[in-house]
Amino acid sequence: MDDDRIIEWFRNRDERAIEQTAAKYGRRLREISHGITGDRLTAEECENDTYLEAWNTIPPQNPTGYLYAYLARIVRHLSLDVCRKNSRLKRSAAITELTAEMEECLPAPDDAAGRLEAKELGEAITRYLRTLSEEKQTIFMRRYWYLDSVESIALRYGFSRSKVKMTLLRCRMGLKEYLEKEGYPV
Amino acid sequence: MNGNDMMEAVGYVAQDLILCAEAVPKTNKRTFRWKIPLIAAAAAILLCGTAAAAGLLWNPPDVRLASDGVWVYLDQSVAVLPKEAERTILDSADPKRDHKAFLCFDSVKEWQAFFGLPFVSSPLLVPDETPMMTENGAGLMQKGAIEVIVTTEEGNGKRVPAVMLTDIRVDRFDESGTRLQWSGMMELYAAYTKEASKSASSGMIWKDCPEQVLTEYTTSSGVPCVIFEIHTGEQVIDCGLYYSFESVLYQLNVKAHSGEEAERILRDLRDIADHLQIVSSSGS
Repeated sequence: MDDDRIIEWFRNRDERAIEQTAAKYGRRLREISHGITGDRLTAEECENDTYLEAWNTIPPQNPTGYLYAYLARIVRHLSLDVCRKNSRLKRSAAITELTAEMEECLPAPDDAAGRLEAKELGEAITRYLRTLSEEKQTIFMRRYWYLDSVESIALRYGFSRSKVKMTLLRCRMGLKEYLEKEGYPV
Repeated sequence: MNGNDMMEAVGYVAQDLILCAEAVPKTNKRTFRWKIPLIAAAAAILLCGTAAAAGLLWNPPDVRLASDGVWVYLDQSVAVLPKEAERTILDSADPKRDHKAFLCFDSVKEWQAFFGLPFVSSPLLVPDETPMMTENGAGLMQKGAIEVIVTTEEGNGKRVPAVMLTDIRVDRFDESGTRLQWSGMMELYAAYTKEASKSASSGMIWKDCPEQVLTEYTTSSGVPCVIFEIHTGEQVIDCGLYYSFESVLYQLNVKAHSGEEAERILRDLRDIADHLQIVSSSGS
């Protein structure tokens, strides 16, 4: 099913939008959520909440050309939220560790400038990632977008743990330098 | 702005980056390499001679200067794979994943029986053989605790196993054997072809990363090892012990979250190095 058709159904409040979204992307959205929460039932709930969020936001949002990324971002956000609120989920400690790693990328604070919106900062991160090799991009994304453990990344690509950890360290250092050089405020 | 905001911002990266990372890994023509970062001032060239201890044959790693740093190599010999294991590996190698075979074993004993290799460790370490749960699309399923990747390569018109990488989770308990001190990951590496063992490396000095510290350590029984610590983040220090026996490289990795914890772990690693032995013999 064409994404443009699905988006049109959302805009026309046609419930086929939800059915077709679930059919086309449901499994992948569940996998993203399960990777973050580590819990199958929670992942299913996050998936369903994603459809509700999409229904409530399209329109006015119009994710033409990037529907999957739009949905994936929603399910990722919802899954992260659940992990933060429910410390009993075994992935909660891992999320805390990842968040601490991301703090290292923050440029030095600039009192004079305004706060960056997440979307704008996300675009800056995209520009930074495009300066890296595909291998480094992938390792960064698996860690900080998909929230994989270092062990899982090492196994997926046949790398050693040391290589993954050092690559991530350099990516974080590089991102911090990039944001500082580009003058991004925090 | 804080770490949570950064995590949120990462969610907004471009779709092609998300899709690229979601895809199953593409063919990677590079020979599998294993590297640990070492100190840039490579004056600590290691281990020039052979060492023997308690009747065991320990092959010291060979350290050489390369154009981009210092590499630590395994010896030039190859590990020998039993014929039945070779067949199983080649049958399960996945062409979509660069002809790698992904295997699981329930125990160190089962791993040894399959690969025909000794397992050299310390009685101070306990392998964690608890099975893992994984989702396979149809539901949750149990898989063995010990995960292995075996790469393959083309040689003389046929495909053969090339490099084996094994992960074994290990626990360190206190003297009474009841209280867990820390958990680590033991990585084992073996080459099965001359080419793989020639190009395989077990260490590299990263010139622009001064956060690594390397210590040459020779145990009381003359076994040459490397003990390393790498500051991979604020308050995160990776500690490790590296040694090789016959044609297999062992690297034990343990994470510390403070300087005091790292000191304690590094002391433990020296202890472990001093008690290395063949835990049980190879074969069925």
